[in-house]
Amino acid sequence: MFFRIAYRNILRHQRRSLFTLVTIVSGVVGVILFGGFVEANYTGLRESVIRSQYGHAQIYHEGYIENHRKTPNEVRMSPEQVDDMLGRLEGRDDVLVATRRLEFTGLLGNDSGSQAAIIRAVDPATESLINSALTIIDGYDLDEEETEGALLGEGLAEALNAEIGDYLTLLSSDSDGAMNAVDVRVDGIFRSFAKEFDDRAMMMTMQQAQALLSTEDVDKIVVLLNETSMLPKFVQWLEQDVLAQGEAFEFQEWFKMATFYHKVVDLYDGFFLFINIVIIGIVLLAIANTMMITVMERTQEIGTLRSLGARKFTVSIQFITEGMLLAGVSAVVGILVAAFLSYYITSLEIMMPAPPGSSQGFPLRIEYVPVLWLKLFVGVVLLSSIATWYPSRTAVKKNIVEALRYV
Amino acid sequence: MEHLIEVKGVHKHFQMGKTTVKAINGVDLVIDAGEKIMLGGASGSGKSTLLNMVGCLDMPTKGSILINGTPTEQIADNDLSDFRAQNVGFVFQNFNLLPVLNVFENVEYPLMLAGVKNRKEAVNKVLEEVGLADYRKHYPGELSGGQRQRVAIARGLVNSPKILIADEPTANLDSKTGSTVLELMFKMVSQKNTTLIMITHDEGILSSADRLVMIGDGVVMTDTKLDSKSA
Repeated sequence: MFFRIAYRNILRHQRRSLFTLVTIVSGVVGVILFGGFVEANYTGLRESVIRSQYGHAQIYHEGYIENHRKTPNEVRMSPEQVDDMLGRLEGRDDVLVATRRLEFTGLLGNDSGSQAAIIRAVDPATESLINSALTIIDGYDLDEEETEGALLGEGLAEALNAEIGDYLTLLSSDSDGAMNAVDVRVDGIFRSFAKEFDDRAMMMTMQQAQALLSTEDVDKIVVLLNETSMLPKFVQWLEQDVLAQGEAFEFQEWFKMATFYHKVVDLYDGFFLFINIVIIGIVLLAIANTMMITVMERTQEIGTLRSLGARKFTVSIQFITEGMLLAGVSAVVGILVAAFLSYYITSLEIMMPAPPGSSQGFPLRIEYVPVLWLKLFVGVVLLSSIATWYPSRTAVKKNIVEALRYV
Repeated sequence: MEHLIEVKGVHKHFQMGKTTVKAINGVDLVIDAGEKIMLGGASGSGKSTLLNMVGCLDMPTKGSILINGTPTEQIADNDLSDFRAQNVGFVFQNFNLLPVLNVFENVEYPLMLAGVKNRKEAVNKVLEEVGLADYRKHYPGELSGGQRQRVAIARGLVNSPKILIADEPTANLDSKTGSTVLELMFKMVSQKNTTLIMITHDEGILSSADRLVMIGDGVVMTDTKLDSKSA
């Protein structure tokens, strides 16, 4: 009976109900579109971070994480360790590629000058599969056969005034602490999602770097999985089947290294929270306003219900049911409209400008986030019950005789 | 002998800003089961105030109203609501039907509040009695004034209450319709042995009433037993 009375009363005041519905739908659409936009940004940024810098996880020799800055030579992985781990990773279905890296700093110079650089030595064949988010904007990628080849970040190349084919001298200290130098040839210039990386980074072949550092060791094995969702299971394998056996390895997941990613997420989360509060506040006011008018108009009806024997709580529940039904229907309509708009806007492939700290723009995408939709639906319905409770509670407390006489 | 309703030294005062309005100034009254009581008096005499308190819609400022020996002012609000649902029916001057419920649902509503499970038969029976069985699916907005009041009577009597309170039930009806409605109401309360307490200015109904209680300045002026032949 409550439900019947509720939806009939909603239909009875069509204009008012429609106004409230439109307000709630607008709010829900706003939250879902912005939430989907934020989620798409998170996904894009996450995959860019994974596929241009960190991989899904990195495996090191034990002690690397704590000591690699102080005593890098003592915490590198030996060739035997590397072969052992690569062999095991090759047998796993979830691993797309595993590749070696050696990272150090050096001084890169030519006739124009010199720049401090972060050097990343890689195996070109496997590294190219991990670095799908790097864009070669000039020249070509590293080649296993071209050991002298190097890729410069866009900002670094500009600082050195370097062009494709130029030779640069790389100076660094080797594993014994002695200064050593090699020549590298600029084969390509790259751009990643992070400008700060592009301003300082150079990539070179593992063979050339190991010659410079007089070592056969590497810093890490970078692992890229088939899907980011496979990471928890992969980590479980590392913890239970590798580390638990006492082997001299340690590892880090990508999110423990991606400080830029977390800063962006925190910033967007703050924006999202603020916008949510504003929109939900507007929705709440709309429902409260509608229900206040509804309750006031039906004061005499409340008196009748009370005289027939309805308890105060029963009458309040009647109005709360109306509020929740109107909010629930509006939320569902809002979700459907937002789902369609998300699909439509994404299909337009509008290009967004590069975000702060990044050097690449990206297509506007709005992801479907079903968890958000569900939370929003529940939240709107619950909030409507709160917005309705107060005016109905005030009305039922009125003296029954006064309520019956109310005009 | 225990009376159904006992009004003992009841006063009712209203605060209107700085002024205290003494609507009821000491009323003593007893009503027995099955009686049909007419309350009469000038406008502002306090008869509606007294009627509301007997129907448990309002509480006295002083004094006590006992129903079946229980002082109503000592009953908690929820229990009083339940008491009204099971024992008191109302017929209002303005009908006060719920506009979004049809005739059947309006009459069914008090049974639902009283916790009655099998309601269909009781509703259909009382609709037959008031002659509106063919109007079950109609909404109040589709009925005439007389039909609406008959729905209100059906609603007031559907759960066979001990007391039926009627405050000028024919005030918004033409005289012919009003007479028909009153006749119906009296017939039904007699059949169910329901105590009727009614305010009306229709003197033609006095022939069907048991007592006429005249209220003036908040007190009982006269309480006259009526002989059905003398009106």
